[in-house]
Amino acid sequence: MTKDEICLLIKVALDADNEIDINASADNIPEWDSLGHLSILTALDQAVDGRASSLSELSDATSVTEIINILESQEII
Amino acid sequence: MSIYIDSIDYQLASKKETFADLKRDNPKWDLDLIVSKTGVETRYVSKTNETALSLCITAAKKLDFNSHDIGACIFVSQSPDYILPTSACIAQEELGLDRDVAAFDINLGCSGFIYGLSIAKGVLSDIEKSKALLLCGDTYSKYINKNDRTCRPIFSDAGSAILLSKSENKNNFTFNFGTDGRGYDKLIVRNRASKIESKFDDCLHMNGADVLLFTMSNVPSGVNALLKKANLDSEDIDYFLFHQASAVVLDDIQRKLNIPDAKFPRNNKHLGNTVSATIPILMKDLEDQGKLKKGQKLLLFGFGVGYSYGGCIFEY
Repeated sequence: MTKDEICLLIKVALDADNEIDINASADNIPEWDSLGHLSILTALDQAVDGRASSLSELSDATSVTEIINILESQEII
Repeated sequence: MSIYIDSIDYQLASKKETFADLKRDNPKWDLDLIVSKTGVETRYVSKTNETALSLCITAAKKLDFNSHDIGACIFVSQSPDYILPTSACIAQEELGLDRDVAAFDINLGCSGFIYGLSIAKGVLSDIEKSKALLLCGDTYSKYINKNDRTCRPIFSDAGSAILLSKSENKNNFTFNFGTDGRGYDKLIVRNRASKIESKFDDCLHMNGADVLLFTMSNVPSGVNALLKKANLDSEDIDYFLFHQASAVVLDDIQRKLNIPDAKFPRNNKHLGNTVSATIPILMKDLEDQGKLKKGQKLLLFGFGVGYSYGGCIFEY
């Protein structure tokens, strides 16, 4: 999975009006609230065959960069 | 010796809460978005004089049983009437049960019904009387801040009563249980028991993302382990009856386990998440609809606060 694909996944999960790029976060995307974060987690987990659900640090990862860093550190992407 | 579920009934809290009630208190909430994630449109909230125990006792009084047959009264709840005494002792008196009854409480939430079944089965094997009352209920609304967008749209108050009877048949229950105490503070009410933490309030707090990750990583694997332990395949199960947590949780479980809609009933849309009572309420509703019948193979699975989970497979 590429970084661009993760950005697209997050945009779809949030049903966001704006484009999602590497700088997007809960601070600058209105749809990325606590409920939106649940959508991101389930979409991510589905995209990586269930490997995201064991990464508890994803619960606090509220930016694209943080999410990518966590997935990279676990060699999921 | 084994047990069977003789009958189930329940009592919802008396105040029905709708969108309009939530919107009135929280005009900025996007209720369409909330409902899309929770799946809950209406909930039931207890009045001041209603408690989990009173709701369970009302539910138990709807059941048809001879009080002299009851040998155990087990109350599963995280909203007892008192820190002490044991709520089940009050139930023994209010239900007119004999005094040679084992009465005790179990402090568990969404997994509690499954634990209660297992424990009741064990107690019944050690006593002469033939029946046990399992009471599962909670009134989380008493702990919830009216402006809490995470908890208020989900949780609902109810009490359930399950009449269990000894069976001479060989054991037909298979259980599995699990706990991950690392998540103890992800769904928590502080400052209402012995430990005082002055920097926190005494309301219910839930970290929805953490709880979701716990269920996503533990429930499907727990279900598969349970099926393997029972030496059954998914196709052998007539109904998968899960704790009715929220839509986002149930959707993920159903997708991962590839369970068809017809075997994955839900009732949280109009009832909300009634904690330990969700599964017995779901069973009662299915029975009333003529869908749940004796002889069907059921898989029950409860999960949540603790973190804790428990599942069982049995022939209804």
